[in-house]
Amino acid sequence: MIHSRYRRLLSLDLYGELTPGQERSLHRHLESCPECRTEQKKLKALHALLDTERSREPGEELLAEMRQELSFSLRGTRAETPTWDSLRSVLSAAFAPRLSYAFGLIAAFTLGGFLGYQLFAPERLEVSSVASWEPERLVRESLAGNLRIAGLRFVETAGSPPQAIFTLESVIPTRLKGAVEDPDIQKLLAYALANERNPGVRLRAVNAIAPHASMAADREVKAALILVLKNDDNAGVRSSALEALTHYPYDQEIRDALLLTLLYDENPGVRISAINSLDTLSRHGMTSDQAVLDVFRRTLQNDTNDYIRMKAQSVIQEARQQ
Amino acid sequence: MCSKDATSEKNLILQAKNGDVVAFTQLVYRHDKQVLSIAARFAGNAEDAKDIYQEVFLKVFRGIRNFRFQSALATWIHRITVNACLSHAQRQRKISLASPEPGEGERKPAFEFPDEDARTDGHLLNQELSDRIALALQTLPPRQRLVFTMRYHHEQQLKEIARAMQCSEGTVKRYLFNATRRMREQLEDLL
Repeated sequence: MIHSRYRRLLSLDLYGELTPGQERSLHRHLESCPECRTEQKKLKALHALLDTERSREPGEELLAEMRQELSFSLRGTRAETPTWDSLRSVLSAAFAPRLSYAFGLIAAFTLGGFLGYQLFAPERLEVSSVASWEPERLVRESLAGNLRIAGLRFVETAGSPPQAIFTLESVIPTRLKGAVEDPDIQKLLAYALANERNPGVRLRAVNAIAPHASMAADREVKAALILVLKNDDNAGVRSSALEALTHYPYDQEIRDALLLTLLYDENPGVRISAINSLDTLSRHGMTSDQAVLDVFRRTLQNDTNDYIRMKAQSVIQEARQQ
Repeated sequence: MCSKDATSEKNLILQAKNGDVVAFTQLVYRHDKQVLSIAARFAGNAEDAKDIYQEVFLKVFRGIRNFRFQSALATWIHRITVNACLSHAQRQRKISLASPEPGEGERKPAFEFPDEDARTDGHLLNQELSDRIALALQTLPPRQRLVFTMRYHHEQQLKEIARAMQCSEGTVKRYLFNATRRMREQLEDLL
């Protein structure tokens, strides 16, 4: 009987679940009981054995799979709304009888304003999701990196501007749709451009930005294009970013990005696009300063591509003649 | 959880109650690793762990609007997890009573946790050991298995477990003691 009591304490002791009194009593007993000391050793050995396995956790891949399946299961599932009783109790607790008239009036105005807005305000962005929420918040969360862009496609219908449809990775399937020229959509496209892992998504994003680049002339979009031109792994994406940048008003940032591309891009096609753009700009008298000519000289000496060297030589000669 | 985290979790819950998908996603991502871990150890195979995980978060999604902050969100999710695990075990028992000898290959035999020692000499030994421990865990009755998993693997306090299981702390202690004793018996030859 005594042993069975102490064995229970021994077991709980290893989990740190004894009161100080129980701990003292157990330790006193252990000093005089070799049988319980052996039992303690066995239990410690059991914990040591289990410890080898304790830290192992299901892998990230399985977790990602579970999240994706959960997302699929949530299609068509709706959250329960609070029961009328609980709603009524919340309302009656919040509003005393005399205040309820004022509350009603405010609610009527708010509802009127809301309906008016819903009926007459043009919808810039559309959201499809089982949950209701504001599109602007979704844009903000995506730009902050809290929601990943899982897919991007474009829809063109006659008589209306092309629309971008973003599929966003969340546990509730969500799509955001808006005109490609919309500033928020442009920002999302720029974000996708700079952060997306899928080169197909990046390429579609840069091609969507390009025709509207000069119109939007947004700093963030331009910065994303420059970042992509300098760093993207995919030559097609870099080339499209370069093309989009030529629609922007020429400035030193764009000039530096083009010069770096000419000097360091490993793809001759992208370097050719860079030197052609610089040549066009130089014909308009915009890139004939000393720094640009130095880059052309280095290109003439070092580039492995015949066309690029020939082009560099022609620009240098024209500059000498001027 | 520190008070700043608690405030941010409260805000997320309030937003999720209003149907905010981003907030709900963030809440799931905060808690789902632990739910999956408990489900995986409890069920012992990936397929059943998936079912439990799904059941838990579908219930969380359906019920979040009625969440009244009477307990921490983690406690509420743990309670749902406990119920999902126990009803899963009950369903399994009914199935095994209906067909006592399931065909081979009907279920994935063991849940494999990723092993950093994979492809090394120690890997096979570790895997063998891991299988033995998982097998021993599966011999425990459901409530003992759940308490053992939550206390031993997830280091949850007994009072937290008692809250999640809606029973007394003394009952949880009894489950834990019996579970430890059975585990010891099952793994005797390795000690």
